[in-house]
Amino acid sequence: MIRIENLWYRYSSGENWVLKNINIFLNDGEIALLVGPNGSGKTTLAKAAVGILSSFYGGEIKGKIVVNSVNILEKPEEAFKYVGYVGEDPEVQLVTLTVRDEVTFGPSNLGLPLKEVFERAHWALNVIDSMKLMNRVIFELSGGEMQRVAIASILALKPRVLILDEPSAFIEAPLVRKLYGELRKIADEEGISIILIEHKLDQALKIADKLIILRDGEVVSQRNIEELSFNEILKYQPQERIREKVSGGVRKRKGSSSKAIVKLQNVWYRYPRSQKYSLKNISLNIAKGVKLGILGPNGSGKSTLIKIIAGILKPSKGYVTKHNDLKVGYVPQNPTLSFTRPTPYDEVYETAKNMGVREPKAETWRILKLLGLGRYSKKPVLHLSFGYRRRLSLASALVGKPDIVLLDEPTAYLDFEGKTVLAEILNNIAKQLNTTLIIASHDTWFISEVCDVAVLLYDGEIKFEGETSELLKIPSLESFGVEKPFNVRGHY
Amino acid sequence: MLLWLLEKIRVAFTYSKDKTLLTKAHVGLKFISLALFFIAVSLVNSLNEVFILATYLALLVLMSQRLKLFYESTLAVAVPIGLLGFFTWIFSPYGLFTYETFNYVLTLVLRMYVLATSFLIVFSTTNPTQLADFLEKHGVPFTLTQSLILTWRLIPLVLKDIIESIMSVRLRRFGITKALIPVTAVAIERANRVSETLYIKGLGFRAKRTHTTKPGSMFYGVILVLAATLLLTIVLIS
Repeated sequence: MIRIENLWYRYSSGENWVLKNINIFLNDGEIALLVGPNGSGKTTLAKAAVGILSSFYGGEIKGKIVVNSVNILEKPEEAFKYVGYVGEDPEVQLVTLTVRDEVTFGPSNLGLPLKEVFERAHWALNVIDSMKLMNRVIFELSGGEMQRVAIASILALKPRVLILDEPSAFIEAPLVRKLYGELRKIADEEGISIILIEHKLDQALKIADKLIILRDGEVVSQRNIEELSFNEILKYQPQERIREKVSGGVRKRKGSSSKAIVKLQNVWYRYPRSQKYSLKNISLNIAKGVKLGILGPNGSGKSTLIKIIAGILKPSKGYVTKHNDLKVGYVPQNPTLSFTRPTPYDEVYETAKNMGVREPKAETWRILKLLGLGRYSKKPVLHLSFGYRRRLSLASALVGKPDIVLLDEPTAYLDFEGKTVLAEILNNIAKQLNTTLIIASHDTWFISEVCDVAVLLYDGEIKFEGETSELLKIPSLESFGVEKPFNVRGHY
Repeated sequence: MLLWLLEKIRVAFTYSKDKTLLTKAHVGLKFISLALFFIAVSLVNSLNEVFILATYLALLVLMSQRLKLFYESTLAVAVPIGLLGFFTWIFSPYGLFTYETFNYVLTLVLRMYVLATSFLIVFSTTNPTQLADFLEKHGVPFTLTQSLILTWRLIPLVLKDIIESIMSVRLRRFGITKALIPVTAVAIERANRVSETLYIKGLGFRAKRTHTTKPGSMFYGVILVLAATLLLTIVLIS
């Protein structure tokens, strides 16, 4: 049970309240789905509930967060016993080198007897069906596997309240279904209250008891799922809209007859200290102006392939041929890794100058406006939300008019609106600049919106190569860990 | 070249979990033997003695049962030690092409090589949690041991960030030194997130932690300590 009463919070650097009079009540075994656009205060609320907000960020906090009769705001050091939180980026939440050490880390800190530490670790891994990961090394895990280990490591603390911040960001649809099934089970059997922060609502709505909508730091709606009418649920499940877009969106393959600007021949890649190849015998011709989607489940080799094309990784076997004068723009999975200047304007302007763009000032403003960054042009880059950082990274990659732009998981942590905007932006850019786009993602909807051609990667091998519309017709698509876009319904 | 070197260093610092004689060896004795070896290496000043000390490296390679580890460690240290040797040669007080210079440079380079390679092999075959548990049992505060684990965990991640950042800035024709800016920003954000995670996972809220690992086989540990002690004795006698 968790009771949040009249909760207000503002950062020490800001005058505005980020959380405004939040009141939430959740019974034992209940699951609340917390939704809201990027920047609405969802993660801040989660951090308040786990007691780290005032300890790490300072600022002013008012109100009460009561779990097991303990007010977390008065005794933040007690919070970890009752509230578990799994944040957005699983990689930084894993603090040891092996899965075994990670899952036993929390219970070890409680000073429990050794037997109980391992019982809890086994229980937590079993709950999320990941016992087979027990003896793995963290470096070998895919994003989805890391996510599951991060959840297990918190579950092992046996919290009364579990808060999961976008657990589906790096997990493909079939696994999300499975994970949510397990969450429902632990809520029912263990009486754990769960707050699920999500943008993808289709599966989440099936297990949730409550829907809480947060906007600009305020709870604008808090209702039981059974109270919601079919039409109201549809409002949060815009599958019909999406289906229309997809069915009307069959695109012709562009540039298929033109000469390849990037050619991969029998490329194999194996990560150091790994026994198996992440890419196996990949051959691919990428033509000028094409929008290529690299689709596949976690661990299928999508990011590895993007990095091979970008030249960040060298193939273990095989060749990558590019034109010598080919300009490549790269948007990494973590966009912050590309920022060298303090503000968006400086970042794009410096890049424009470096790339020899004529009239760099004008071009900088054009790109910033095209990507909706105009009003943030002078804001410190580290104050931008993740979605805007990705746009800035893209702006920086685009301003030099590259022949080819590579995007690695561009939709991670973006809400549905953010994804729609990004899809529109990419389509406009490809049209206006005739830029080749290569996008690695497990988001079938996004790939179908943007890309005219796609490859399906599974276990490091290309299982399909051709028009995106043809890929979507494959009856066994889900058996490759990829969901069809008309099933990717319900985004917020 | 820089990216190649960073990648090799990253690989050398990546933990290898293969079950080998070296991973099984007692973690405390393993590091004691490394410390003894370090003392021996710092005392030698002739080429013959360095060749004798190289037997410790050979023993590590043998016990690691992976020639690849040796190869990867060699690649990681080859360039920095090569540069050290080159500049020592250039600035040698004995002249460029004298016997003393060659002897001096070769001895220095080989000393550095056996030490660095041995360190990397021991490092990459040790589970830091095992070492932390061992140290905590012997009274070392958890703040120190957990810092050790985190450093171990984060070195390959930071190196990965540096590589990715260099590629990203280079594609936009910035100088590669600019890559330090985003890497620093990401490292600070990462450090903040990691400390939040440690807080959420309850580190430090109880006086006593449970230790989940065993220190390893005394037998293999003793072999390493005996080997290092023997080499140190030889060096001291000679």
